[in-house]
Amino acid sequence: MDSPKKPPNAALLALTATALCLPGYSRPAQAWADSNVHTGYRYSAYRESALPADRNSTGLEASRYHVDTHQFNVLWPSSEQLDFAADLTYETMSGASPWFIVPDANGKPVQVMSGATIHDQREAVQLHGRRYQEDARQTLLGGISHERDYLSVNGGLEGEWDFSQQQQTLSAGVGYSYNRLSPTDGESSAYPNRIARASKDTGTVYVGFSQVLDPQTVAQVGLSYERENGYLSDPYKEAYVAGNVLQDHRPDRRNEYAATARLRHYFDAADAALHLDYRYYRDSWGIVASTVELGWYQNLPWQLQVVPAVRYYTQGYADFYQPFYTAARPDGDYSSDYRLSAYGALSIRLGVMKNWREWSFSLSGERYRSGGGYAAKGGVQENPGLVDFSVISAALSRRF
Amino acid sequence: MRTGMTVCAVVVLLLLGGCMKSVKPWQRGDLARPEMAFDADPQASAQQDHTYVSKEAASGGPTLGGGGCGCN
Repeated sequence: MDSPKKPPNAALLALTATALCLPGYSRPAQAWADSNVHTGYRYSAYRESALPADRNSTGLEASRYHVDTHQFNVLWPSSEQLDFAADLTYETMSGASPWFIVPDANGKPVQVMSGATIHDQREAVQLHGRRYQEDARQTLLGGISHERDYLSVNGGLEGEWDFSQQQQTLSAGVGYSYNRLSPTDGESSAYPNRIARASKDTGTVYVGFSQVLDPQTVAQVGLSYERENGYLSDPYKEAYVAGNVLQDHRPDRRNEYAATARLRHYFDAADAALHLDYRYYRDSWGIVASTVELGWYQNLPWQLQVVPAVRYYTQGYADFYQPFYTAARPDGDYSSDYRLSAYGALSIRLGVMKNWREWSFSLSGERYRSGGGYAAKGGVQENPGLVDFSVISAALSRRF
Repeated sequence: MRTGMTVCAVVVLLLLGGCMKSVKPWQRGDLARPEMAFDADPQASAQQDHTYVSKEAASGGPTLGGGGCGCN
């Protein structure tokens, strides 16, 4: 394994000779090694499983959310030292979502779904400009995301620096986003306690360090910190508190910390690459979470690639979370949102990709199941609103 | 969670402890393969991350995401 190894084809030889393999680089190497323009389109259909009858306060099965997403992207190399990228997203969302939870006659929590079917759409634009130097790269990025009741503007700066003959890469980034909420029916006669307008902002910093371990292995570790300020509650959710239904109310500040480790290893004999990712997360709301993801990128004849992957996620509950409250809390914080409850989730993905001349096609599917029984720590009271979903995606890209 | 932290610590020690070999530029053909990138399909990853951030409490990592959303 230590002997010098020639790249198996001309394309890889060109990549290697030109780029010397930058281990921290997180976009396809072709993006800067050739002068082609890349364009792509992806369609994704996200479908949530129906809420089972025994979890619904009505005793009937209830349909949930579905989202159709169209993504367009273009990468335009301006020169060998500079490229620009644009990602456009358009998605439509509709369906019912969890509203609040009540105890049934036996004290078991059951879900009340939003009364009306929600219809919304989101348009987002994300722009990147990247500059390449011999041993460094810098990216300036910015974007905007718009929904009828939500506007988000973000910007950031990222950098990568190579050391030790490009066997080590240090990466770092800083980002900011401003978010304005204007919930539907806020302060209306139907929802007098729902806010009409609010805002929040988020600041993010991260550092990462990657290392080539051997000719077939590269690893990266990273730390990130995010601070959210402002209105962090969900205006469309409520909580059952000692017989009353109150608006979801969370602390107006949240500090989030994440530590990540990623490993990539190429198996020459199998012509396949192993991806292993781990993330440890904790925040100032008391939530601790872990994510493990394992992927296998199997190359096949006729420029086919098959990618099976499995992802496991587990989290604890927020300090102020309860499915319903039997007494008022002194701090006035209430949330029965399943996303703040203790649970685990198992996800299985399968993707198939085919390259043909300048074209690339891919098809993938994911099945995500969540539940209290999947949580790393057993004995949790399961939130009835936990979601299972499926995603089917099809993508087409071309280089010019 | 302790297991996870232990895995992280082992990876850090591997990176910093001198376990790695010197890899010459001409030995990096396999590392340059697209499937060896930390993010092999950025467009697919962006959509997956958007979904997970909408449905789970945890987020964060060694890259910047986009802006927020009013996802339910």
